[in-house]
Amino acid sequence: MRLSRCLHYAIAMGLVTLSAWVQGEPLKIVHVMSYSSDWAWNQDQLRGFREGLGMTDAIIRVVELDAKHKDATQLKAAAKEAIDLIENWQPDLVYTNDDVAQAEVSVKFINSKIPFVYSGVNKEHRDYGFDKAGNVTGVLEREHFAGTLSLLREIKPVRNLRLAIVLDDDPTWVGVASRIRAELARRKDVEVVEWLQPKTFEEYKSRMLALQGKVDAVGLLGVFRFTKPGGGYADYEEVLHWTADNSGLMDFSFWDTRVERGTLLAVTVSGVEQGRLAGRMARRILVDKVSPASIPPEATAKGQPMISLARARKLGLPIKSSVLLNAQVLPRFAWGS
Amino acid sequence: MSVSLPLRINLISLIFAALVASVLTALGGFFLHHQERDNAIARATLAADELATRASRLIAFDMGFADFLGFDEQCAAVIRNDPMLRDAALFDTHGAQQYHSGSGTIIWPEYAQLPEADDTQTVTTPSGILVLNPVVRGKGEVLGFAVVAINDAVVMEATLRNVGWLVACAAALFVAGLIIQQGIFWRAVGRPLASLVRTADSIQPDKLVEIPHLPDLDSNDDIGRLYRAFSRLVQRLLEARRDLLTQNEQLEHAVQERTTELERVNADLAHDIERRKELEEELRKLASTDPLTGLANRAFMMPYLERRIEQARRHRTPLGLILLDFDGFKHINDTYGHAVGDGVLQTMGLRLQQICRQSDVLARLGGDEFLISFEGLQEQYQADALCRRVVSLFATPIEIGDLKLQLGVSVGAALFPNNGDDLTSLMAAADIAMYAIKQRGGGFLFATSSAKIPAANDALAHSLRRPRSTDQ
Repeated sequence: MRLSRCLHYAIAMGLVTLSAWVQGEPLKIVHVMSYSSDWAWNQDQLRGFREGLGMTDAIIRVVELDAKHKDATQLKAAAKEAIDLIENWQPDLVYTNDDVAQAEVSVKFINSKIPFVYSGVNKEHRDYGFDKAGNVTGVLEREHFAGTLSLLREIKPVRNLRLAIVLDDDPTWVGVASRIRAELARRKDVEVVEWLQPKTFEEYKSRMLALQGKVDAVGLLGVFRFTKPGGGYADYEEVLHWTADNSGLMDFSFWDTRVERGTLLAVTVSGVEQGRLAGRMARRILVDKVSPASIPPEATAKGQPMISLARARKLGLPIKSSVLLNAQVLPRFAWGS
Repeated sequence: MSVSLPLRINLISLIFAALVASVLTALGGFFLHHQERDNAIARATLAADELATRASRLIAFDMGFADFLGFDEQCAAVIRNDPMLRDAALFDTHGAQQYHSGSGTIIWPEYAQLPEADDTQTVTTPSGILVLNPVVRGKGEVLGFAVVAINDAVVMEATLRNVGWLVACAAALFVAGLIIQQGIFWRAVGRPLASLVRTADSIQPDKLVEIPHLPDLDSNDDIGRLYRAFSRLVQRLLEARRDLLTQNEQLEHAVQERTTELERVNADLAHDIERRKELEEELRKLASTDPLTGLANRAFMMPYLERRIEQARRHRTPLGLILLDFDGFKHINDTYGHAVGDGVLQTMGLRLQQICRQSDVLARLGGDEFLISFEGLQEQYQADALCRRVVSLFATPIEIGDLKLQLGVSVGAALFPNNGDDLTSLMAAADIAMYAIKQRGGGFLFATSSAKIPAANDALAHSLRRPRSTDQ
């Protein structure tokens, strides 16, 4: 059944693409990003996607869901806008990133004629029903938890590492948290003392201050959805800035944007790498006429050690030259001069 | 031990080649050392550049040299897995060593011209060859130097290893060349010479007939000409040898004939010698023997008796003589002829021999006169018995054919030294006794005393010494 569906899809895709090429029209691509286009994370993925696609004349129309700043109603509206664009414009391919776009948009087009390629997805492929779709494939984001712990130990050797993990209520972290738990279950040298999920920025502050001296390091995963007294969410830069100024604990994350904003270290998942791999998948679909169902979803394996030397200095942590030379080092805070 | 010519040529060429190879190897070693040294400097330059880059990266993090933590590991990392690099270090601009890794020490080149920001300097110091690369901040501020020292021992070892390989390859080529050259020389020189030697050795004195034929050699070089000259020499030698063999054969034949002739002459000569010995023996016998009776004659008997008398005198042993003369023999001779007379003499000679003992000697002195010398008879009565047996012999008639003849005998006996102390006196005593008994008609008579032969009787004495042919 699935094979037949894939076959029909391939024939339809071929006809559409062939007609486009015969007419000499550039390919049309819709990019639905979960967050805003001014965020480096989104910019990196789109840049990588363009590199992997290798078609400078392709027309890419971008729809921002901006999930970090919009409430549920606003998010639904943004998703409706994206769906309408897809249905009306009939692009040759849709490129989505991060989990929000999958949950709000991609799931609406399962087994449609339009191929979908994603990147930066933390949940599993099957969690969105893509395992039953013949038109969806993409790049799964897999954080380098073990590598990050190793980097942490290189900076400060601790035999039995005590951790606290901070999350917000974004469903993105469900997959991340489950994978961390699975990794911790295999290890005896790491102990998560506490999983924090504060609702407000103030709660975050108080919980963080309470952690001082109780744990060796704090994992900062979800820091986007802490409400502020006046309404809205505290900007994650503000959260991280406060943390750098007030926390004496080592902290870590998995994204370069965090280290740029004061988190001590991360073995980052590269947005550019994910976007580049997704672009190559799109090229195979559009140029080589390979069905998305024939391209299994992949996870980027390459991680880049990243260290905030400014934060290390603030924490009074000497770092060996070998660690610094093997990592991307940020000697200053993003808010610095 | 002799060495073959091809091998000798080969060894000589090998020696010259080895000399040339030694010079080339020395030159090659010199250049290889420079090459290895340059190679090490190039590696050191890269390592120093890498070390300087790492230091510059850390400096770019707003870190000073003093902030580098564990930078010794970086020094070690840039020279790790490269045995040609001995030490790596980071110096500040004042020449103070900040970080170091390696098996030796690096002495700061005080008086060396230090490199500029984008330059690299190679200096030779007591601690070895150093490569200096500046550690730069920004676009030209030199904060220090990354220094890498070359391991001279390893450079030399690498050089020697390469030289060793060079020598090994050269030796292998030499051996291969030697084998090939030996093969060529063997074909060109050794084999023809060996053939010549075998042919020469086969020409032995006991093998004069067969001389092996030399195989043909087409070469026109010296060896070929020598080979053919020897071949012609062998042919001429073969021909000369055939002539010599023919002459030898003829000579041998002549020698054989001559030898046969000599053997025949020798045999004749031996026969003549034998015959002469026989004749001499016969003459000797004739001189001492009476030809008619085969008894000793006077010529033998007289010297014999003188010797016996001398022995008897010396040893004081008894000795006697019996002198006998036939009575009536002249009559027989005149009546029946000399042949019968000779037969009578032979018969009586045999009879006398039969009564004589082993030690007695019987002789016919002449005519019918006989003499018996006897020894060992001390007393006269013992000699009397012998005389009686002599006389009794004549009692039996003598048969000559149909004749039966009767003879008488007169026997005179004398004893030494009683009847004479020498031959003459003894013979005279016996003769006198015989003559006396003959006067009485026959029989025997012993001499009574020593014979005194008066001067008037000189004729008698003389007669005793000469043979008497008749019985008167």
